[in-house]
Amino acid sequence: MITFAMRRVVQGMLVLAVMSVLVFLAVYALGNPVATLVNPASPPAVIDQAIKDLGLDQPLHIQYLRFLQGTLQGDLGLSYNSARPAFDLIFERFPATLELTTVAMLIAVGVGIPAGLIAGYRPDSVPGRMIGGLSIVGISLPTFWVALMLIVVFSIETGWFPTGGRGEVGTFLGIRSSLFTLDGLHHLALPALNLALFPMAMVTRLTRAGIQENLRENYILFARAKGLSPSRIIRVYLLKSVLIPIATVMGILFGVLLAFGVVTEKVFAWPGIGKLIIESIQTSDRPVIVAYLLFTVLLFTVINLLVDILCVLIDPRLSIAEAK
Amino acid sequence: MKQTLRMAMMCASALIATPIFAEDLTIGARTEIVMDPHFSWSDANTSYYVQIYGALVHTDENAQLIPGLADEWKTVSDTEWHFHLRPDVTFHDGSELTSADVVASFDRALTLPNAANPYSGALTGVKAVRAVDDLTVSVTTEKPDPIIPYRVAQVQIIPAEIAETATTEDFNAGSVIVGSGPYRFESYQAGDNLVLSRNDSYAGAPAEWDRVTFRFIPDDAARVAALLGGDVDLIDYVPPSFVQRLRDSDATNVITAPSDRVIYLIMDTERDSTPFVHAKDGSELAENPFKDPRVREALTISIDRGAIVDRVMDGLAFPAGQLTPEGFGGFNPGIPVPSTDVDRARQLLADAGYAEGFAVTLHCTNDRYVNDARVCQALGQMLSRLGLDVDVQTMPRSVFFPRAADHEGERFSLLMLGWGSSTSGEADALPQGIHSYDPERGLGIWNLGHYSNPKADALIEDAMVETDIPERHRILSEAMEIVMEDYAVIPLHYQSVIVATRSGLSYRPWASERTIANSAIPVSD
Repeated sequence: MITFAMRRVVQGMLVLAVMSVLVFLAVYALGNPVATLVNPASPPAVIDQAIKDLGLDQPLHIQYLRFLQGTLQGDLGLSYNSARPAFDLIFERFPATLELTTVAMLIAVGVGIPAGLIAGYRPDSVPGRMIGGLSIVGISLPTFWVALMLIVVFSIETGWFPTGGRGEVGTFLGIRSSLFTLDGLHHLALPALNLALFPMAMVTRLTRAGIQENLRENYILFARAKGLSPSRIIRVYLLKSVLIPIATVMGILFGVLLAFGVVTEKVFAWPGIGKLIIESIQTSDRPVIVAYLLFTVLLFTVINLLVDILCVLIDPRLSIAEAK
Repeated sequence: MKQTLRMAMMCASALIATPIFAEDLTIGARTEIVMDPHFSWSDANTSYYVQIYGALVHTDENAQLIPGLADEWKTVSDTEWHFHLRPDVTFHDGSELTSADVVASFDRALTLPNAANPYSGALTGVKAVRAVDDLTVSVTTEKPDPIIPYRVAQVQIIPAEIAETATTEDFNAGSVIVGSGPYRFESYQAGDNLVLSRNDSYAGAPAEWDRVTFRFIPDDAARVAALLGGDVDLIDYVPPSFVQRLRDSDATNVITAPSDRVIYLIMDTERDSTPFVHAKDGSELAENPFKDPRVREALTISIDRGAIVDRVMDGLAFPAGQLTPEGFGGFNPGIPVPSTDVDRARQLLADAGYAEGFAVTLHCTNDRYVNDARVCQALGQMLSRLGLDVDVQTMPRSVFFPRAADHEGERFSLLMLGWGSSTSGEADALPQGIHSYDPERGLGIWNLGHYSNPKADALIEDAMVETDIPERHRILSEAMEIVMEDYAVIPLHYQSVIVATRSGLSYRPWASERTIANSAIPVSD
C-alpha cells in the first residue's frame, strides 16, 4: 500500500515537471503580455521599462529557469494585474470553488445513485424509463444554457433565488464557508444545482448500467435462489461491485468540476478559481495562468491517489493485485 | 441563541424581496478594481479611484477639466506649472492635505515596482514634482506640454506617510486605503465585491449614497440577469443585444450616450509587400495595394456605416468620419461621414489596377470592443462586394495585441482598433495613432499600419507644444482633415455608453464609460 502510494507521488511529480515546461511554452507563445496590459497612451520607454522589470526581455530558457527557481522556493510570481502572489490568489478563491463543487457532487451522488438503482433494477417500469430519458437530457444539455434558464426561471421570474454572487460567509470550527449561513446557502443553491447536473446524469447512467450488468451474473442468481431479500442483495452484493467504477469516475469528475467549473462560476459570478482563470486569460496575467494550471495538475494527482486508495478500501482484492 | 436569531433574521431578509432604501446603491460592474491606486493605469481603475481618492484636477462627464484637490492652476513658464491646493481638504483619517502628500503620491506612482502598466505612462515628459509651499505644487516638464492638467488628473493623492511606506500588498489587504474622496473604503472581497460608504467630511459635492456596493460581474448576461432579478440597482457596459429587453421591462431603464471611443480600420501603408494581402490565386502582388490612396478610398466608401450601426450595433453607435467625437479638441465639423458608393469604389479599385480585386485577411479582437467580432464579419461582407476575397480572423485580445503591436514583428495588413480620447480630452489618436512611428520621441506607437505623412506630422508636433488651447485644437483639426483626405485610416463608428438602472433611478453617463455612484440619481416616476 505504501509503496503503491509512493510510486503514485513520484509519478505525479514527473507529470508536474513536464507540465511546467509545456504550460510555460504555451503561455510564452501567446506573445508579450505587456502589449495587452499596458495603457495604449503609454510611451515606448515606459513599455520597455515594464517589460524589463517583469523580466520579459530575457530569452525563453532564462525566463523558465527563473520561474523554476521561484517555484522551488514556493514563489510562483506576482499577478500582473494586482501584484498579488499568484498562489495566494488561487488559494484565496479555492474555498469558494471547493464548497460549490462539494455540494454539487453531494447532490449528484445523492440523487444519481438511488435513481440509477431504480432504473437499473426495474428498467421497464415507468420511473425507470423516465430516469433513463432524463439522464440523457442531463448529459447533453449545455451547462451555460441550463445556467441561464435556472436564472431566468428561479431568479428573474419568481425571485426565489439571487442571480449570482457568493452571499454571506460564516465561520464554523475555524473554517470560513458560505455553507454556514442561510444567505450563503441561498446563493449556493442554483450554481450547485447547475454544476451537479452533468455528474448527476453520469452517476445515474453508470449505476444503471452496472446494476443491469451484475443482475445477470451467477452470484446474484444464486443469491436470489438462496432466498435472500432484494434489499440485502442490493446493499451487500450489487452496490459493492457497482461502486468501484463509479468512485473512479466520480473522482475524475470531481477534479474536472473543481478545475473547470468555469462556465458555472462565470454565469453565476461565483468568486472561485474558475472566474479567476477566465479573467486572467483575458488579461494575459501569465503568472496566474501558469500557477493555476500547475495547481490543477497537482489537484488531479492528489484526487487520483485518493480514488485509488478508496477503491482498495471498497474492494480489498485490488490491493493484492497492485502489490504484485 | 443569538446565532440562531441572527440566522433567522438573515433567512427572513434573504427570502423576502429586500426592499431597496434610497440610501444604498448596489452596482453590477463589469471590471474589478485593482486596489493599489498607483499600480495599473487604466480608465476602468481610475473610475473607482476618483470616488475614493482624488487627484489635483478632475474631469467631468464630457472629459472637461474641473478643479479637484487643486482649486486653480497656471503656467509660470513654458515648462513649469503651479497647482494651488484647496485649504480645506482632509483625508479619511482626519489628516490635512498638504503639498508633501502630493509630492509623495507622485513619487510612488512613478516608481512603484513590478507594474506591468505603470503610471509613468501617464506622466510622460514630467521632470519633477515638488512642493513650493504647503499649498502649492510645482510640476516641471522637459518640453512645453499643454495637457499637463490631464496628466496629473490620472494620479491619485494619498497621505505622504502611506505613500512612502505602503506596499501593493498593503492596499490589497485593505489596511491603508485612505483618500479624500466622497466615499471611504469599507471592505473588499477579491472577485466578489467592493463596499464604500459616505465620507461626511468631504469638501466637494457630497456623496449621494450612504453605502455603495460594487459587485464584480464580468459576464454580460449575468450582469443583465442581476439587474432583472433585482439583485443590483445599476449595471454598466450593457451589451446592445439586451437593450430592447431592458427597455421593454417596466422595472428597468436604459440610459445611453455617445462614448469617446472610435472604432476604425488600420491598413499597412508602409511595406511594399504586406504579409496578409495576396492575389486571389495566392501569388504575390507587385505592390502593396494599401499604399495607393485610391484603394484606401475604395475601402472607405464601400462600407455602409449606417447598416453596421443599425443591424450590428442595434442602433447604439454613431457613424464616424474622423478619429475623435464632437466636443473633443481636434474634432473638425467640416469632415463628413463618408457615404457609401460601391460603384465608385469598384471604379477606384479598377483605376488603381485591381479590377480583379485581391485577397486580404482582416484581423479583429473578439472580446475588446462592443460586438467587435460581428462588426468584423459585416465588414468582411461589405468589402467582398468590391470583389475582394476577405478572410475575417477574430481572436481574443490577449492574442491580438501582442501580434498587432509588435513593431518589429510580422504585424497585420488590415485590422480593427478602437481609441478613446478622454485621457487628454482631445484627439490624442493623432500623435499616437497617426503620426509616423517614432519610438525615440514616443510618437506613433499605435500607428500599427506605419502610415506616414510629413505634413500631418509637422502639424501634430506643433499642436503638442502649443499651449494656447483654441489654437492647439485648430491645428489638430487641420491635421485631422489632412489625414482623413488621404484616407490614412478608415473610421467606422463611435461606441455608445450604455447603462441600465432599476426604475426609480437615473444616471448621468460618462463619455469615458466611467461608472460613478454619484452619477446615479433617484427619480420619482
